[in-house]
Amino acid sequence: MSDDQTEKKKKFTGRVFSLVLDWFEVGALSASTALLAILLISNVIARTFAQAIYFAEELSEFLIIFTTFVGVSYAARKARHIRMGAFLDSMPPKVEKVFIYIISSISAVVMFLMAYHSWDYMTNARLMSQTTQALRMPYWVVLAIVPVGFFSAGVQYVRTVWKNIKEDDVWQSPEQQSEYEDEVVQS
Amino acid sequence: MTLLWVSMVTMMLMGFPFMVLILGSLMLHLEIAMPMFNMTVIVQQVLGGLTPPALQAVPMFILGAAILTSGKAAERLISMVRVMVGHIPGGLAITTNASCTLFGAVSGSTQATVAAIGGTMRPMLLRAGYSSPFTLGLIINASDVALLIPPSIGFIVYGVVTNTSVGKLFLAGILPGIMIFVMFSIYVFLYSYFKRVGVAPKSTTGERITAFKEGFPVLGFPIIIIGGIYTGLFSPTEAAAAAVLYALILETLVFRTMNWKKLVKVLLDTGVITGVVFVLVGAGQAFSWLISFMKVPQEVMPVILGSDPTRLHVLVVVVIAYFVACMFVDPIVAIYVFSPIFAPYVVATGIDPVFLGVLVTLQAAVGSATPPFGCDIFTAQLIFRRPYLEVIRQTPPFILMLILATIILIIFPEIATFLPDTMLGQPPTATTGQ
Repeated sequence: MSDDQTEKKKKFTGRVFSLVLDWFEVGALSASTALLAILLISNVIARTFAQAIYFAEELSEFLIIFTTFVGVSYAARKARHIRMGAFLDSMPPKVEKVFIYIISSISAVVMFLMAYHSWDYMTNARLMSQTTQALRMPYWVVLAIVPVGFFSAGVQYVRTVWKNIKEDDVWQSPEQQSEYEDEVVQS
Repeated sequence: MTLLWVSMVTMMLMGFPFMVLILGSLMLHLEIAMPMFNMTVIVQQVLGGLTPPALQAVPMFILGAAILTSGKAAERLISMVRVMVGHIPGGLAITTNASCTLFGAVSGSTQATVAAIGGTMRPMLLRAGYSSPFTLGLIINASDVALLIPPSIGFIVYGVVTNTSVGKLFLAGILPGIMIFVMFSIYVFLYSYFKRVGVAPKSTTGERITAFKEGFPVLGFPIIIIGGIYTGLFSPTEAAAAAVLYALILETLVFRTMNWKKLVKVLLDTGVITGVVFVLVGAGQAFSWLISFMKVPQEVMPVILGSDPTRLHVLVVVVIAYFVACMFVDPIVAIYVFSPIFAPYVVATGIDPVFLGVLVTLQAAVGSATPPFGCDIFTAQLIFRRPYLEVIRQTPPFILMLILATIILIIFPEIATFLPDTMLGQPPTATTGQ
């Protein structure tokens, strides 16, 4: 296989990877938000006319944890995390690029460290066979999304560095140039 | 401890995402100060920050707002207000003010409000003859006041962090919010009267009736949320869920604007904002824990406040601290960082935590619109692509009014505490965040 073909294949794999990730994150975020809404609405109705659903509070907590950590990764990929961008945005592009290298590298390290610590935390919960109060399910299953989300966010920051090396423009995230432009919808 | 603050401020000014700078500084600090420390405690704190039941209202309010702004509700509300007041001097500006107040509260961030309402109203205001700096000053400040009108995410977070009833905070924000709305409205009325700009032709009675009929159902929201909480029928979370249900019914059955594709987009947006806000909430909780753990309040506060501060002394320090902090950071971060520091003094001087919540949220509003650093100024600069000086030129009158409102509130705390004190019933305790 020639270099050109290898390059194309790599690009293709990258595209597929990013599409699958996008499909998963978009699906997970919308589904968990919908579930949370359905759960809370049903609970209001149930409480008014009969009695509250006993696992509603617990399940909502899980859904929020799930949404949060999928969202952490998604927001890193789309430059949606809240920050004070005043100085960064007013810098000349060349300086901004240098800053983005620093910010993204450190962010990646922080995310990987958090992934490592939350993996530890999850493993502890599993070894101690902690179960949840209402539903009696293993607690580590709920926690599994935490290291995954942090790790995936770390990968996104590494990709940001890579994107900025490869392209001349300034990219604040691998798939979104800046937080103010409309979202790029993959089709 | 110095290293912690220095690294945080440096990273903030460089433009790091807040969640990274908080979590990163925390780990760095613990690594240096206590090398043997078990870092999983941070994870535990982050997760602990996400689980208070009162926080479940946040995604629901965001979802409700997203459904409404994706459909016709916002537009109909704007046109209903416009046909009523459009013809008086400053009418369009008052319409902007009202739209920001009603819709901004639920969008999740003041920056989103600047973009959403500002995008629609600014062209209309410019056509009516208002100067560009005036429209920008109005939009930035009116969006910020939305923080005070329920449902406000700032109140929910403040309530969770300080163990204050979110329902009471919601009610407490209403009158101060209306007071500021009135102050702004008087100002824009006088401005437009003396400058002779911004008068639109008077609408006919027929137009008014149509606009009113079309916009009327939207008023169901304040009734559900405020009425439900005031009568004790709903907890804030339940009111939020009911609001979502109402929004869905309105946009699918009454206005018929919702379809599956839109619904998925709305759910996705809500999920993303929830993730972005909640990771900050979790990181904030971890930071809050560190501040208490390192006994920062005991070390820092006696230096600033002395041994026996008066109520006014504490209030002034709190107000200044939040005002300055909110120029730079998101209100959520400021609330998590400062609440544990000030809490002992607030309790000791007998300040009503509900009243303080209103004052703090108001400072968040002022701070994010105040030059030179207020973050909404930069948002407006980017969204409307106007130079910095043009954006800030007309902000001082609004900021002065907000400072005046702060002073009035400190003198007459009853403006905030009146409604919650007369609340009819206690909302169901399970989900009030107590």
